[in-house]
Amino acid sequence: MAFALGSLHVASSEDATVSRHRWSGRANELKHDDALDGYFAPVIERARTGGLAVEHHFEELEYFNSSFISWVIRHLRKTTEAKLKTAIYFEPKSSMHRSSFEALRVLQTNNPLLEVLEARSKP
Amino acid sequence: MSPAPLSLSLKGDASEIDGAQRQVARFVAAQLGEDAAEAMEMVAAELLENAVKHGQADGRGVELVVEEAVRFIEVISSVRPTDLARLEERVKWLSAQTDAQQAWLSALSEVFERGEFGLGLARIANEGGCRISLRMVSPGRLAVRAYRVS
Repeated sequence: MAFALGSLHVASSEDATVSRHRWSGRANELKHDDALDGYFAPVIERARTGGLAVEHHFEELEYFNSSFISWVIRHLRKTTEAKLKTAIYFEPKSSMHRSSFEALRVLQTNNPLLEVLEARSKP
Repeated sequence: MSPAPLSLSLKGDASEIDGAQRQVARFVAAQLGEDAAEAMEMVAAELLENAVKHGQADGRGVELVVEEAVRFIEVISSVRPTDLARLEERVKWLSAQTDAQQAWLSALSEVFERGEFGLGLARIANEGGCRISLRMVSPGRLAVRAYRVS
């Protein structure tokens, strides 16, 4: 399964335990909510009924705006409410990734379902 | 000889932001290097997105200036009066914060708790290392300036 919005791309796959989403390109729409929620609502439902964890791999994202960060946070709220274990991976060599994604560790407080992790950098 | 500032006149269309952002990145990279370019590209994009989101379509367009030594980026646009009050409130809130990173973490938590909280200006302060000021340059025309402080 795949999703595209402008130059933003998501390639999705699934195995027995994880619904995995690999993001790339530039997330710079003024408003991402309708398009991304339309794609991810069935993903959340399928993960909930199938007992799958959700993984978002943001390490290949070249640029993202604050509207995208807001969408990510609202999405994490939805996966938390659906009681889904959710992990997000960011590129630790990118200061943009560290400033925004690493900062989302603030949401891990009292939320054992959420993990914010550094991706293993490519050699 | 110092270079001329980068000055762009835009219609105020969302489709113009990506191109403007890339021009700012090239200009800043030439002055300050790639690391600063990434941060200031983000600052320019967030200022332009705010101008488009809160803008009033009155045909006067949007002006973006990057000062020659990249001490500041300024965006001038027409603003809706109701949105102006919200922007003023947000800048006042940010100015009262002693730590930009703490303000950013508070803003992220607000989005999680309440679902809504404009993140753009808090991101400019934290990731862009900028202070933000607002001033009216003519009736209905707002200048938002992001000064680089770190």
